[in-house]
Amino acid sequence: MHRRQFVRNSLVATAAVAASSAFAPEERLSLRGNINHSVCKWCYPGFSVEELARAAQAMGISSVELLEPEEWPVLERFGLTCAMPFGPSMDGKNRLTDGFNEPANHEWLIAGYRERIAQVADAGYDRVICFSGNRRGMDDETGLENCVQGLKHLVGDAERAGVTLCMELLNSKVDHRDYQCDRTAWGVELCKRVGSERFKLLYDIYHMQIMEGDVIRTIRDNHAFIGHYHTGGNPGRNEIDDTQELNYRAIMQAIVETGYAGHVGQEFIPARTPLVSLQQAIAICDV
Amino acid sequence: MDRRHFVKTAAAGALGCVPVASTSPKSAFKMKYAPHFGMFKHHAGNDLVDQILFAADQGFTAWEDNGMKGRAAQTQERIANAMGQRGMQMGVFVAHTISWREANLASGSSEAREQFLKEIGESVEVAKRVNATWMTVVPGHVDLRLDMGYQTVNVVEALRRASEILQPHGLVMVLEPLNPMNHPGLFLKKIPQAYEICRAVDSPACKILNDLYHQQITEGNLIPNIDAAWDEIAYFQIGDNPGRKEPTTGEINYRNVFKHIHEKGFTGVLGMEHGNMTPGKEGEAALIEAYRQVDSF
Repeated sequence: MHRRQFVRNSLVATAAVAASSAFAPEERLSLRGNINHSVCKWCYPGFSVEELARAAQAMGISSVELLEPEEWPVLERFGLTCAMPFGPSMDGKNRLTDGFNEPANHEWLIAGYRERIAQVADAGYDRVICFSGNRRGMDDETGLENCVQGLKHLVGDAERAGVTLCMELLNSKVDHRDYQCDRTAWGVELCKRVGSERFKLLYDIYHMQIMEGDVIRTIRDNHAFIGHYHTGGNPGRNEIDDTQELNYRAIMQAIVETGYAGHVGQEFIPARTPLVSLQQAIAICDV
Repeated sequence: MDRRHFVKTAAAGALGCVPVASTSPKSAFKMKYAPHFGMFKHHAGNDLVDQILFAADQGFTAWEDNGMKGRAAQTQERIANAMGQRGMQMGVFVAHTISWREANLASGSSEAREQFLKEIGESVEVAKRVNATWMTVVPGHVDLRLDMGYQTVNVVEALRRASEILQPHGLVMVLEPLNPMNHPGLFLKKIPQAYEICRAVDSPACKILNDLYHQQITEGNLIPNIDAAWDEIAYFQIGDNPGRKEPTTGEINYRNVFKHIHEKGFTGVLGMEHGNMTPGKEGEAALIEAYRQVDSF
């Protein structure tokens, strides 16, 4: 990115943010179309899926994500997609902590994901989230091999359906103690061993800033293995503006430069007026 | 180039539509950002004092010079006099020969330690001559034959001895972790590790230099690490990532990082240990403008 262009973009962002301080849905941002914007529903507990979808549509956001199948039809009414649907769940299991690294979970995960991959494809979506699970004393190598053993039963389904399984990278220091897929290098190694274009990583910028930093270089070096992005301000996981330590515009510019065609999911927890903060985040990320 | 000539050149530059930094004195930055020699040479010319005076005119209130120790005593005095006249604070210089490829302090070798202590003693004289408080220490390469626990003890022992030399003079060595991508094999990499060592040395003469460029590459999580190691951090250095250029050119939101450091009551120096994103006068003017932007919190 050239400095001059960056400064100009910053000014546009500042203007957009200023305009958003009195948020009204009809004041739709003029978006550039380089980044496809998405928003994670769980960060807006005070809103129904319909309310968030309506607000998202008004802002030019094209996806509401981390939704269950029964929530998907709502999106259609607003012309939105679900860039990252939830995977299957199982009574007595936690989707994040009980994952592919534990062979005892493989039976329900394989059956559940087979069904979910089909549902996702039927709905016209092309990605689904998955998780490694917690370590519980497991070493890196065992975790990798266990994940490969489970995932190899699913990549054929995923390839035929045109759906990419995206394993999320989470921090294991602050929010998800003991989660195994907490390093980009481990996740990339898993992608290489699985060896399918339909298994990639969900690179969460907030989580990886906590675990390893060096965000832009990591994205440039590993974008072939990244199928989705999440945001969040560090520290605090709140707004991605001047209240935290990352320059999200520069990171988005780097993502655009990799040729990424998927969505960027806003996954910060608004500390201020939720929709004003959401629109501000879109303005910041719309490089 | 003398100052009058400099002003003339700058005016000519302005007429030629090349963005140039104004030569009229600017209000001081909120924080003591410290440029180094070469950073403003297209505006100020090659003379060292001219460069310092130019920086002072732009509102910079500190300066740093890694290579100060290698300059003639007369040059050191000339630099110090110029800074004194403009009320500028001296930042770090490198206190000793850094052992980039072989273990020195980490090995426990008494020969290496004595050499280090001798150089620290010499640096006391330099510090006094240039009115410096802080000097940079890099504990060198790891010793692959020793467990990290033993290496840590060896480093701590050497730093305790160095602290005994510095403390009576009110001087401080600041330990700088460097990123392992640019500097593979060095002993000191992370802020928590530097914190552990400073707590073990337990002297006001041994503190942390937190270079935010290096730490963004090595471990990220900048503000939480600043907070966790705050009591031992005496000095910061700056550089955006990737590229190691001025703030606003990379992934670090320096405006908020500086605001955070300022709100914690930091009154020390932040060294601008980075390159200019764009060459020439245009780049120097852009760099100063970038600092104006990130200092406006």
